[in-house]
Amino acid sequence: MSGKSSSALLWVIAIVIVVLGIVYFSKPAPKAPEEQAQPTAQATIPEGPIVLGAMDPLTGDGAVYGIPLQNATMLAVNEINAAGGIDGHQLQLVWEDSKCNPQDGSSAAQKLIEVDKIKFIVSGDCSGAALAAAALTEPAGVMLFSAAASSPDLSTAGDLVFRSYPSDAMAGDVIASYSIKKLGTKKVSVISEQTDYAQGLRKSFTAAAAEYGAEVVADETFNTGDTDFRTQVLKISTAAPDVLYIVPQTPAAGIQILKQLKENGFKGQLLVSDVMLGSDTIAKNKTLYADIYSPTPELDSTREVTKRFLDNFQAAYGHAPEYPASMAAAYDQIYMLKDAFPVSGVDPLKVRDWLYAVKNWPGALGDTSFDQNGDPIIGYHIKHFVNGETIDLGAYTP
Amino acid sequence: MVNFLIHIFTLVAIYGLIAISFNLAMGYTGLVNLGHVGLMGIGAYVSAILTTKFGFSFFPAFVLAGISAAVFGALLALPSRRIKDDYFALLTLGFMFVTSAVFINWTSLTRGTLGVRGIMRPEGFTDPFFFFILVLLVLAVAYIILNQTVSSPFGRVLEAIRDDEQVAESLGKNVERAKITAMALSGFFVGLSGSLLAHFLRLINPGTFWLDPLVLALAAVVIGGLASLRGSLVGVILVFVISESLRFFAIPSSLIGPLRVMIFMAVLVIIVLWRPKGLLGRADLD
Repeated sequence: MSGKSSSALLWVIAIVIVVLGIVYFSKPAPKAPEEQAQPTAQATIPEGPIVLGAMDPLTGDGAVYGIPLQNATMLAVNEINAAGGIDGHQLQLVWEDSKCNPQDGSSAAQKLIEVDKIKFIVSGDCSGAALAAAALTEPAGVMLFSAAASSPDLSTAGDLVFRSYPSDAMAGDVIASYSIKKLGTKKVSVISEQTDYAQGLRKSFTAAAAEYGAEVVADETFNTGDTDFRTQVLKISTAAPDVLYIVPQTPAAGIQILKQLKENGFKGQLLVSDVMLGSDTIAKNKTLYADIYSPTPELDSTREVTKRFLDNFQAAYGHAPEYPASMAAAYDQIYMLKDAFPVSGVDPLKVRDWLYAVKNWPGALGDTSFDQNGDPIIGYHIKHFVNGETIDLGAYTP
Repeated sequence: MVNFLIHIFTLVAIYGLIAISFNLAMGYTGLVNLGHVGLMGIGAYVSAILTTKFGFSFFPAFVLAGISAAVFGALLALPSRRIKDDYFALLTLGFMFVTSAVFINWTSLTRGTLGVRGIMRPEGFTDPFFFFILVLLVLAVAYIILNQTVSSPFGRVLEAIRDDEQVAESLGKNVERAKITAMALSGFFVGLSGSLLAHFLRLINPGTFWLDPLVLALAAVVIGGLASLRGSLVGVILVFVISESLRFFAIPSSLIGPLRVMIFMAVLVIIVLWRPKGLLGRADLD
């Protein structure tokens, strides 16, 4: 039996490969994406719904971010469809689970491109999956529009790769510049978690600090799940920096660090990254937020569109957005495409040109323009926390 | 569609390589090496770093990836004399955590969580179809070598060790050397699979070599059956057919992630209940 079924298996595999090869090579060679979009007088959207691909980490560790981002994306889609769609075309999303790793990210993207013939993929977070997907979307002429994948690597991942949340490179630059130029610090230090988001911030912060003439006297890291930071805190205290920038992946680790710094009697000025700015987190730890600065994309709830996002989210899901800034970015990306399609049609190259041309597009996250890498230029605000009270020090550009 | 199929078939072939090398250690020798994916990560990182940072071309880096994973596989076999069964499984799982910590923390070499980018497909195999053929050729050669190994007298020594180590030893077999050889060979081929995966995805990060591929490979080997190379290939094909076909069912977007995983796992449980020894399995692990 073994010999027979073995050769049967071999025959099946051989036949599959031959058929696959014939089909593959009998296709006309894929046209290389044209560099320039052809100008046409009138953009047309084909009949029927507009189908977009969407991928987020929906299971596994990344789902803590993926599912809230999916909710924000779907909120925008449902609002647009309820209001009659885009020029009468309903918006449909085909979802795939990127599981926050390169392998599933690339399989998901390949399926959306090849099987669903999709021209636009929106994705929430997770730089690893997005970068692996970009290796497939770019040659296929498909636009990859990410909300909150914040790795600086994504800036150079391709011409059709955009994102609506600023790159880590920008936040690190803003806070380094602010602490050195405005707070007058000379010796800076940083403690960061070993995740792509936090490491991106750490890199851009230390590079910017060096550029502005400050000395990086301590650069400590910790692993996800660590709860004891006394070694790092001691090393940082010994280096006696003027300022310490705390970059965790989740608020829990950051709060532990703040507690242990307080126990240690750390004297320097504290800066935190934007994951530490959840209103719940601050309310529960008022004494820890005694004197802290942080940069954050302006999520100004007095703006009409921001208020609409926050209120509608509350109404739809029964709670406030978990990560307001990055979820606003996910919400904005759908509305950006909504504004782009009637002008550019469902054509990635024309939408690309539209996005590059757009200036101060009014989104929930802020007024958005794009740089030459497809990264948004969004004003950062500096927030100052004094005994748990938030003081907005206004917009700041390095 | 055809490109998607080639993409999935390439992954199937890479996982086939992972599974048959896994089965050599687990199914034939009785060494439940849960650090298998750690060895694969070593191969992937060696190949990715050599080609992107040190200007190696693909094939030397590919071979070195196999050799370095083989060395670590042999080292992992050393404590197996005193640490057996479940304890060996725990030890090797620990090894996987260590490799992951190294990938994350040795940032000057691995770029940490940002991962290694810009890994190129080998020259002449940049086209997805040709790359698939390359992977398939590697799998075929590995299959032939492993098949020769397990049906040779040495293979029977391995199976004797799995069934009763003391008996094998009392028959004058050098148990320790056989285990080290088996683990090195298993490590070599999984190292090659890591290299292929890195050049296939063109980006690797520590998350690529975490629990997901381990669960997939373990499921494929158990479903296909222990001590059957053919079974492992069938297991891999089955696992991919189930998980990929779930992409084509209409599931509401709010449930799509969790529901797919639940259906996938439920099907695996049913198969194992139906065929406890796996589809083509010949052995049991106590």
